Amino acid sequence: MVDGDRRSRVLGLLIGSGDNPLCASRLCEVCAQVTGMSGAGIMLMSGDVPRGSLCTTDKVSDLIEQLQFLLGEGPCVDAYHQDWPVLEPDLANPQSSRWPAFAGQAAEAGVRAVFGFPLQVGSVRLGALNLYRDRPGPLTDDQHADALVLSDLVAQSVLVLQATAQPGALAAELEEGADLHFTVHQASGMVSVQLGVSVGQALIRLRAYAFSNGIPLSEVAESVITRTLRFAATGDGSYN
Amino acid sequence: MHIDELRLQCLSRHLTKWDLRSFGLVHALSEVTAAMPQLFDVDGAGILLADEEHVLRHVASTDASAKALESLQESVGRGPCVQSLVQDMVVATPDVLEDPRWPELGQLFAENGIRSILGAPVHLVGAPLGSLNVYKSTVHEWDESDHRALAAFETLVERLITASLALERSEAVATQLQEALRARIEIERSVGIVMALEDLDAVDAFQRVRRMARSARKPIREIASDIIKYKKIAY
Repeated sequence: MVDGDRRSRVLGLLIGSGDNPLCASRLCEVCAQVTGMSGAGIMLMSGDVPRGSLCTTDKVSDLIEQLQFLLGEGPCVDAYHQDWPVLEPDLANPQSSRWPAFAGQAAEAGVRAVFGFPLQVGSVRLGALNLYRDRPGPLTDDQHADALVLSDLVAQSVLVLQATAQPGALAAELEEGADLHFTVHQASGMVSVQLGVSVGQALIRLRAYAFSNGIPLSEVAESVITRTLRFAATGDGSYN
Repeated sequence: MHIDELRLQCLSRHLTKWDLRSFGLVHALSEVTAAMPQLFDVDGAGILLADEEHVLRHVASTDASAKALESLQESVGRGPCVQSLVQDMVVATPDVLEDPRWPELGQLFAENGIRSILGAPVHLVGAPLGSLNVYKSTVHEWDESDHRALAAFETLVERLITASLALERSEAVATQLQEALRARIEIERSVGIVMALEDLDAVDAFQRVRRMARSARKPIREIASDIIKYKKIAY
């Protein structure tokens, strides 16, 4: 299939019909559908770190995004930094152990193959698209070509959504549709006061606590905000 | 000047695959002009584009003569390329020494190795924006095939400029999105700090930050980064 046909077919799916206009949640569905994957997620990044998830198709995709936000490693993070597709056709038996913490947990959740594609507009990088499948195996040439077209169109679509925003503000569609981990950042602010450290360091402490206790970062953040968990300057954190 | 259709098609295909992001428009235009003497029987080529004050500026040229062709017109504000832009038409000069329209330029052109000139307007969304020029060091009657060849290149240049501008606009929104994301996160972090300092819940802490911004007459993101920096509540 020539690239132009591929593009217009995907565009048709993204734009949808009149009563079903372009929206953040459908971006992921179309990505999974077109490439024939088990699921897809779109990660927004800025300043070199994951900022949040624009959409995910299912629980497993959501976990893939959450783990990368928690651990700072994974296919999207690499795709973003390397500015190139990152392909792991067999996550349970990877050729190289590039994501020691991510791979184990993702595989446990049923991810057998995972692929990251950078989202880029000109020289500005926006994040990455992740695709996963519940059985191992590489992408076919067609799937790979579709994913490239999709990541380009997804990046453009994100801009279409953002173009309506006031300068300096996020568009409502992105603000409401995306999971930008606001509670985690609020908790970082609180912990930075509790520990007398920078918010960046506080976020690291929160992540470490979540990881070592096997609790989702969002739950740890919720406990901090509701004051059931308080970090003390002496320890790693303790429940009141 | 007979255009090599097949080679132009190849060049055109090569150009659409080009990554304007890393090359930049000026670089792309330089590559186009550099290709022209290889495809046509001309000695050099150049591009002038109007800047925001509608003054023609030299953008790309193949050699010193082509550069002189442009800079001479740039300084005098007249000449075949300037006229092709102003009148939005192809302007041909078979012999610069015999052209009555630019008597002051003829000798200067000739001294710089330019004897015949063909200039065509470059358009952006239908309006003339600049001029694409070729020259020969000998007297030359520009014929129909010369005009067609130049027009083909003009189309290519226009496509490059349009693509580059669209990219620039998208990049501006993308950069704005990055900044908005960063600001949004800073605000949440400052809300968390206020929650801990003042023992407030998230909603009240956010109201508090917003009030601070209002009374200080500063954008909320500035207040947020002050709170993060100093970990205290001024204002």
